[in-house]
Amino acid sequence: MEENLNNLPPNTTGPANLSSPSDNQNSIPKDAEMVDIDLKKKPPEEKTVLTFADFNVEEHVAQKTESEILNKQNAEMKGQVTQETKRTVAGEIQKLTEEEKKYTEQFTVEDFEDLAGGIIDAFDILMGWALWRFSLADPKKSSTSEYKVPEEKLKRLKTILAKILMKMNMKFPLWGTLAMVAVFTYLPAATKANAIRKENVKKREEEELAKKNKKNPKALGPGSNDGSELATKIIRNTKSGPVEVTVPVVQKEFIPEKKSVVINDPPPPPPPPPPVVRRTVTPAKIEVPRKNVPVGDEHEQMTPAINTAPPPPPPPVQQNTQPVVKRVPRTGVKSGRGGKHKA
Amino acid sequence: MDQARLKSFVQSIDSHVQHAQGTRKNFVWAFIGANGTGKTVTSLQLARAWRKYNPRRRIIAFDPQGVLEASLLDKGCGDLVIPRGEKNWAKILTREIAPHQYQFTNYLLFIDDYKMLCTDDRTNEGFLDLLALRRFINCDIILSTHNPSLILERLSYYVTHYSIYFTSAAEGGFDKKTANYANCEKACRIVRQYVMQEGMGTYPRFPYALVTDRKKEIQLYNMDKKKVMDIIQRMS
Repeated sequence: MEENLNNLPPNTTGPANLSSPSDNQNSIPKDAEMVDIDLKKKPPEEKTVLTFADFNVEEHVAQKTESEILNKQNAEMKGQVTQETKRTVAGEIQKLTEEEKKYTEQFTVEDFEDLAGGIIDAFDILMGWALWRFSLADPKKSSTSEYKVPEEKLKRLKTILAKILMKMNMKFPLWGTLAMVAVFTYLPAATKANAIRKENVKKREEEELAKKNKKNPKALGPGSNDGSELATKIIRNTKSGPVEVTVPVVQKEFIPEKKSVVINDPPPPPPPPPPVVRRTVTPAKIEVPRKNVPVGDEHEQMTPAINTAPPPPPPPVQQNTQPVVKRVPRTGVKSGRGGKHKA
Repeated sequence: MDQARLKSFVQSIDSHVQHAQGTRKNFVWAFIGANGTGKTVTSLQLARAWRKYNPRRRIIAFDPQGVLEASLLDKGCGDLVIPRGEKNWAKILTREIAPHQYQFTNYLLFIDDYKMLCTDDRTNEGFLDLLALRRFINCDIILSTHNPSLILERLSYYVTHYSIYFTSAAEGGFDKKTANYANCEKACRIVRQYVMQEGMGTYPRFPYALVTDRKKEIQLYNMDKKKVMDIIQRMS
């Protein structure tokens, strides 16, 4: 409409005359017919059609309503999703197929080459690693780079794969991209994880070694033999005969040796041998206060109840001893308790 | 209008025409008949079929007898019941939450015993809006009543389907009450004569006639063709 108005000839002034020339002349078109309609005359009554059938309810509700379709169209135009157009698996598959088709159509030769390059690079890394593992080489001395293919050969492989992909017209672009993206996304993370893993393995090994040494100090070297690995063998006489029984020796706690050793120091003199006297003293008796102990021999101080000295004579027993309490003769006075006492 | 816009406009019209070929219009289905003639049974069949094809949509029901509530209403679908004596029900159903956006859309309104809900001689506030907007808000309506004279005149212009059961409607009861009143009157006479002769029928096969606003035919259900033809001969 706007275009039409804009395309008006330049010499036109004022509003355009939209009426036809016949209107002005108030004339009747040539193909028109003049008829006379009688409103009072009733139209002939049509015959009624009767049909006999079973009531099929579903035919009245099975189809979608016009408004439903209109709403759907409006929602699609607005980019909205109505309640009715909820996501279904079938719908999503169809959508994906369409997207895939579009995606494939948009692919150029360079895109195919890039994709092929990515796939071959990933394959090369994977193969290098697999061959390196297969060789069982020392990881410290060798690396995966030894098993890499030369660049020229890789380039040839990439070209061939790109041609194959183009010929196949990318029947599985999503799979390809998924694999490629997954590999390249996880590659740095995997490298990092590998480095951390190595550290952790080393730590764990050290911890295990320390534990093992703690359990088995013999491993530290000579001089620390406490016989922990040994077990005493006892022969017990039973009814059926002598039986050999193995009793494990209780391990003692390992005390590591001091690192600093003074070479020139003479060894400390051995302590004087203890007296041959047998002691029957318990540790509790040692704590007896020394007030009554006579000062003199140290040995006597330590051992107050020893059989060395003769026992003191027993005190003389007095045969005829009189009681201290005098008996008071009973009077007629009643005692507080005890009821009635007769004198 | 540039070429691209014109092209997209034409395409949208084409697609609409293609879709419209396989679509139906939102119905306002009136079941008219006396008590115990089977109108509730058939309306329930219709509501069940509606639920089958629209499982996610809600049914809003005025159900004084509780027939629908027991068998069909499901809270999971958001079904609602209009309480008895609620005068603002139509106004609530046409509540606009934003310009041209309504709170309730895509539902089936089931009114068992229409006159019990619309007790006055005037239509409820909002009911005419609901009828006029039914296509926009995608609402199908089922209503049942005992007599055509109980249907308000204004409502008669919106009813698309009439299921006519045995009714004691007086001569001319359908006049001005239905858009296709002549056929409704004929159908009413046929059904009345048939029921008087053959009885009310047995569950769930009750004799009734269906008249639509589009077709000029009268569809007779659960009726014997020979007997109907005899009745028509006698009537004429």
